[in-house]
Amino acid sequence: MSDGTNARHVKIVGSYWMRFSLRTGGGLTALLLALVTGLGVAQAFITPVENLMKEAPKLGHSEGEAADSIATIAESNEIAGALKWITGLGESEIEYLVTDQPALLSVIWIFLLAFIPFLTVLSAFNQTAGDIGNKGLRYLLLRTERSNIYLGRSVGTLLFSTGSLLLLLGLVLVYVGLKLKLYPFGDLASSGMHGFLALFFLSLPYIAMCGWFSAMFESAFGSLAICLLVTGFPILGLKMVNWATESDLAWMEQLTPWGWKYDLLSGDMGARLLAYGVMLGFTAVFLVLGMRQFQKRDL
Amino acid sequence: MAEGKRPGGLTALAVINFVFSAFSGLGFLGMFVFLAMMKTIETTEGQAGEDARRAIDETGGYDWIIASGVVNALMAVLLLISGIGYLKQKRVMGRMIGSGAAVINLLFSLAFIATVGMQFAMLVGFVYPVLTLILLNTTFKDDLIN
Repeated sequence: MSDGTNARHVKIVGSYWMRFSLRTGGGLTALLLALVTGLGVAQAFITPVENLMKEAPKLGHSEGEAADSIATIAESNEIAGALKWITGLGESEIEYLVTDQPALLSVIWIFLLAFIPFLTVLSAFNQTAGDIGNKGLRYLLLRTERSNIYLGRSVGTLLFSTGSLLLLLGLVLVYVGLKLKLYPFGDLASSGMHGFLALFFLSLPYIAMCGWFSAMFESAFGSLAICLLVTGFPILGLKMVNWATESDLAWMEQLTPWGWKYDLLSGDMGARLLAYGVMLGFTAVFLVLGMRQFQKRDL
Repeated sequence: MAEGKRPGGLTALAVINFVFSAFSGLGFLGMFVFLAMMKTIETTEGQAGEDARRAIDETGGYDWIIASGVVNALMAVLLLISGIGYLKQKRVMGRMIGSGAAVINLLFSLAFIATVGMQFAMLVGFVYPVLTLILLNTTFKDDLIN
């Protein structure tokens, strides 16, 4: 490429950055928080199901009957109503998530989607800010171009974040598959892939956004504070305005990746592909802005 | 790795160790509270007493309360020592004792699961010891050499 971008250099910087992330306090804390928060969310839904299945034999019911009861509860109007209220999805979408897909896993993915932007920020806020502050990047600049450093660190952060996600989803799927035995393997694999893609695509724009802010600041803490603020404040602000004025400004959420997150789980392939496309679009915009910022700043 | 150049991850592990050490210490003190409660439960009559006794039996009973108290006391000490070891980048105090604490924690959890059965909540308890064991013996292996 004309600006000196070199795929080999990006790969080297990326793989080093992914491994280095574990050596940093921020990376290790992000991994622990991702696992503990993710497993905590899953636990909130798996434990009641587990207790129900454990108590069933004592009440004279088989595990199969308990599993049927769980399916009946999952497909009930109350659950559908609650999910509709939380996600704002239509009835057919909710029906798809609780009847066509394993309901327990769908609920876990829905709640994880609300946590992923914040967990992603924790693993992506310090792509360059810390090294800009301590002037460490000038040694790297002797060996490669700015674009390779920026893209390499974005790729490394993506790999680290995806690794944490795969570990989390793997643990949940293996447990639900081997211990609870509620769903056939095919359903688990399909829901697992569905959930993983949704969480993966949602994390992309936040990694790129954090990269942009990280290139703007000379302090890792400053970058973290701004990234968390920009991720959380618009959503909180919109919800408060909606609540206070009783107006319907929910469409404004769609100006951010947050507003598209539940479309990533849609049963309608067109809507899902559109949501994937929107996430890639946000990612591209943030990546270009971040790259421009990094190219012209004093290192 | 150069002496004195402590990676941020190792410092984070040390801080987490200190926090878990304090929790383990509280767990040890909690054992005495449980034992005091059990005396009351043993003499409680009626359905409430029966339900409480059944709940205790299902979570392992008297022996497991004592065992977890002892393990908590041990973990509080080992986590504290290994945390200091991480900060000073010590091989024995950090890597050896840290790995030992993680193995003891895992073995106790496995024994508990074998007795009372697996629950998803227990999975969260595996995260830290497994990560510690992996990180101390791979990522931070060459940092704990003093």
